[in-house]
Amino acid sequence: MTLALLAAPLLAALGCLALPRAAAWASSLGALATLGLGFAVAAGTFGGTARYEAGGYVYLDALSGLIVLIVALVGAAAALRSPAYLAREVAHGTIPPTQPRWYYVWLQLSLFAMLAVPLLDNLGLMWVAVEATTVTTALLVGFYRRGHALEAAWKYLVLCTAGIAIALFGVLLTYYAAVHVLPDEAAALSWAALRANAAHLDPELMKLAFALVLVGYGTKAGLAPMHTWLPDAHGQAPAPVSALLSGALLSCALYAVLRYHLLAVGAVGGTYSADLLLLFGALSIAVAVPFVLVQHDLKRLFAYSSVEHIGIVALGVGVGGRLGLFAAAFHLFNHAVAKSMLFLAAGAIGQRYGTLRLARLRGVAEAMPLEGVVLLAGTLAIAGSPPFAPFASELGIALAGFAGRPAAVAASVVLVTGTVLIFGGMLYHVIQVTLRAAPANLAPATPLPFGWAFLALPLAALLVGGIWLPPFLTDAFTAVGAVLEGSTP
Amino acid sequence: MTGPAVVDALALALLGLALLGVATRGLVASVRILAVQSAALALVAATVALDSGAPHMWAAFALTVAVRTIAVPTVLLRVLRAVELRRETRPLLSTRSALLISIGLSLVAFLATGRLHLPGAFPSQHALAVSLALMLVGLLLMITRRKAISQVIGLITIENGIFLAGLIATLGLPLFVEIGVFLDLLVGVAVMAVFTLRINERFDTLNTDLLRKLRG
Repeated sequence: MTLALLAAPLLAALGCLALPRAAAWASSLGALATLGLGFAVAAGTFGGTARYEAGGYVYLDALSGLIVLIVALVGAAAALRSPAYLAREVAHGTIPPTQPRWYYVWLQLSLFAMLAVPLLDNLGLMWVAVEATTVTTALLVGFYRRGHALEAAWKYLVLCTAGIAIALFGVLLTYYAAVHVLPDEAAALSWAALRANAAHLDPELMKLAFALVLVGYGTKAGLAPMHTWLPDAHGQAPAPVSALLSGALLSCALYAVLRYHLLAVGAVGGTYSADLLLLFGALSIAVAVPFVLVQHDLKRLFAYSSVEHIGIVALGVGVGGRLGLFAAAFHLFNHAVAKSMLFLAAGAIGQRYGTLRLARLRGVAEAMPLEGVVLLAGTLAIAGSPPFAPFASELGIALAGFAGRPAAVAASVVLVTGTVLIFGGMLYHVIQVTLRAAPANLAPATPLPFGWAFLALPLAALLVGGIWLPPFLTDAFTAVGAVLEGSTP
Repeated sequence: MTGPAVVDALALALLGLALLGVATRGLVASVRILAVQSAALALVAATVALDSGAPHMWAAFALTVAVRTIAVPTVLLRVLRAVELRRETRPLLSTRSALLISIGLSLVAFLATGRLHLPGAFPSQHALAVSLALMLVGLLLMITRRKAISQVIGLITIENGIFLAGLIATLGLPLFVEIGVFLDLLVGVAVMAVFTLRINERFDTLNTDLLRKLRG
């Protein structure tokens, strides 16, 4: 089934190439298959036992399962929303009618790469997959070939490729440390084998390797101060791609960091890697604050909020403990659901108003009731207001942090202060956008089909999740917490 | 000459070529220097393969020749032919100060690796220091040069440094990983070439400093 999951987007990409006229259908079909198979694969991992598949190339535990679930959900939402979104761009004359076909090819290939990251056991191949996500998504970021989109795509490509090169040096050091412990050269980069023998790895080498990997993959995860590509890329990409980047891509990159965190915990011991995660997490939250407060663009507003929330998840893992790790897993999921929904709403609003400048977006609640309500309620949710799910997960991280070691307490102070400031900033902007009177010369409304499925459903899920968590998800986050605690075999 | 002595000589040649690249402002010449640098790297791989007798090192040698020495420079030269651009104009640093800083960075690399005691799989005196120097010089090129092509050259210089470190420390990565890394490098350069052409078409220049509109 795992192989079928990897095959689905690949076949869809081939379908888009072979049948240019039916590319949208091939992509949608692939997205539905990815969604179903992703659910099935993820559900199989939340029982708590890890397993090998595909001749040992695939290693599946609850942490991989969570990322597969997130990529499948967000990827399907982005891919299924794209046909209507692109059709409107073609109608507006923003892109020529022949261009969407390539969009679907790159979209499905990037889904393939993002699914490969959490499934591959070999750390070298995981690096190859992460780099493949950069190349494929860069083409999507630069999809509108106007100046700003090219600037964003170039910056993204150069910064993330440089970051990934630094991560490759970390992979190399890990391999160097491993060949002295694991004589079989193919096993020397196997994550599971390394984890089992982590205590024998040279601690000084692994310290350096983790630092390099954290900076390298952290660039792609959007951790400050390496986050500078992120607001540009999220702001300039087509809205479904922004949703995909924010929900799925950042989670994949953070996943890679977390795998090395577990190796570093085993090899170095103590709180070395956890402290670094706390530091970069707190820094990401702090850096996001001023940019949210003075923001002028709706999608960039959400992009800086992504920097904040990836920081919160990193901070939660750094805090550790059963509560902290459960809440970190919960929060990663919440952020993916909420942010992909918000970017899709922003996309619909941007197409109607012809701009994303906050100063010119007014009266969305009146002009587009569904998008307006989702924008307002979704912003409340992601900014951490009760009773939504992100409130519950952030509260869990903060509670665990204040009960933790001094560094965790200090980071939690940053977390609470930063979250409160960002709450105020985001809500101010979004209230202006939704509740003030709409401009008179607005284009007539033609809502995108099935808007409720992409907007109201995730919002309802966030609301329910804040009050009552279904046992399926409770088991999932508990199992992920157990993996991150290092207590699963 | 024994294997390690050959590798040391080649490593010093690699460093010299990197510094020559810093001193060169002509873009075609820069790409040619990069190709020669990659050829020297391929010779390192061949020497290590001969000396260690590890069969997968021959595959690494073949990949280095095919991807780094032939394919990547060809793509870059084609881009340059298409865009009629010849020189790196107005870099952030003058050639002289960039060269001085590069020499300083190389000294730092030699000092830093001299203190480390990392017994590699292949005994070489200078290769590890040179690999670190290549990474630092490549980073400097990426930061201080403004043409998109020059930034790609800096990036490949960094990757050459990492590849050299891998050859010396562990006789490279396992072959199937190595193939993936080379594939990514090739596709990455191709995509960067595509964007370079689009930037040129759009702005009529390859200056990435026109790409400074997105702020805040």
